Amino acid sequence: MNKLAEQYIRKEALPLIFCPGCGDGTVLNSFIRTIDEMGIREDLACVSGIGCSSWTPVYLDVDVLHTIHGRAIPFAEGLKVSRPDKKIVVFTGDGDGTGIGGNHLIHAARRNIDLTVVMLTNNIYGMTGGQKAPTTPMGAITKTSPRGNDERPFDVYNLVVGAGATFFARWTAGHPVQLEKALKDAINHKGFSFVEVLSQCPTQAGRSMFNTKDPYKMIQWYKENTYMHKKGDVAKIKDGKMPLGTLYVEDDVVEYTDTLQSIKEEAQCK
Amino acid sequence: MQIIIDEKYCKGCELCMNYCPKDVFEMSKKRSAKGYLMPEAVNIENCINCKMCEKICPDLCIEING
Ligand SMILES: Cc1ncc(C[n+]2csc(CCOP(=O)(O)OP(=O)(O)O)c2C)c(N)n1
Ligand SMILES: [Mg+2]
Repeated sequence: MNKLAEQYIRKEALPLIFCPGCGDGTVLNSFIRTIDEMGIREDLACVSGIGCSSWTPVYLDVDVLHTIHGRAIPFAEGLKVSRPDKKIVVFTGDGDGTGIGGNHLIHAARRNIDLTVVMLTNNIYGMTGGQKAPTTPMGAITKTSPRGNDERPFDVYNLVVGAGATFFARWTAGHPVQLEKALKDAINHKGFSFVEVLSQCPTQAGRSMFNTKDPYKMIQWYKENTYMHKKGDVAKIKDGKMPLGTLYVEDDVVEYTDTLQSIKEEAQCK
Repeated sequence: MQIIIDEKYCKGCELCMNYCPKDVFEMSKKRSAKGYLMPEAVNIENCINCKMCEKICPDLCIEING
């Protein structure tokens, strides 16, 4: 095992559950580099839900809460309120985050609570065998849309920023260097920050949606179907292509735990 | 330059080979104990120590020393 990874991974938890070529492993790799460079191991707590993607932080030798399906964000909010000194990173999947947990996601964004949510979008429910997700493109074939998906997918950027998030970045698992930088910026951002990673699932999405099980070809597909966002532009899906980069940053918005702190101080004065 | 591939954890996904800008890796015919085909650093003299293979590896099993 890589020397840096060896310092952070609980070897007794290995092997990683990820299939060969799964993007989630690359995200774990980038996350280890990020926390090592930032030197935040002791201040960090990770929270995740259920799904392949939610296993990402579970291998780390840091504080981790592996919770229930769709509820990673409320657990993380509770933790942040009781321990505002902690840097909290939530790992979730597109099903976990925008499906069953969608309501929690929009309300945490609305509160602008200081959390970082990393959502691994593989356009499918990977762990349970390849059912369609709220991010599955229209027309895509999955186990639960054998004749093609008849629903429109979420524009996750519009959803999360529209609900009140103050930081949004998107990359693919094929951009490990850029992803590291985005994770760092998101963790440093005070307020609700969201990083969406388009993460290839060669086993479930590959087979039915991409007509290839080759992880590299899937990464190439993601790169061909995205474009680099220019600072100042509106982050729109253009001709079916999603923007990549840091799409939104808003500073100086009131943050939830700060408000709680001032209420507490006021009450103690009286 | 030394490239170590941990065969205990490598799942033979070929991303290191595809990401290397200098074609250092080739897939060998050798199988790991779990049955995955292993990559091999055949053109190690071409390595420029960019560490892309280390960074893309989903199984955290590549180490470049150089
Ligand atoms: C309450 C509840 N409902 C359903 C399930 C079954 N289930 C487990 S994982 C999952 C989907 C996860 O999808 P996603 O978050 O996209 O993760 P992925 O595996 O794709 O990374 C579902 C429906 C569950 N564990 N608990
Ligand atoms: Mg998914």
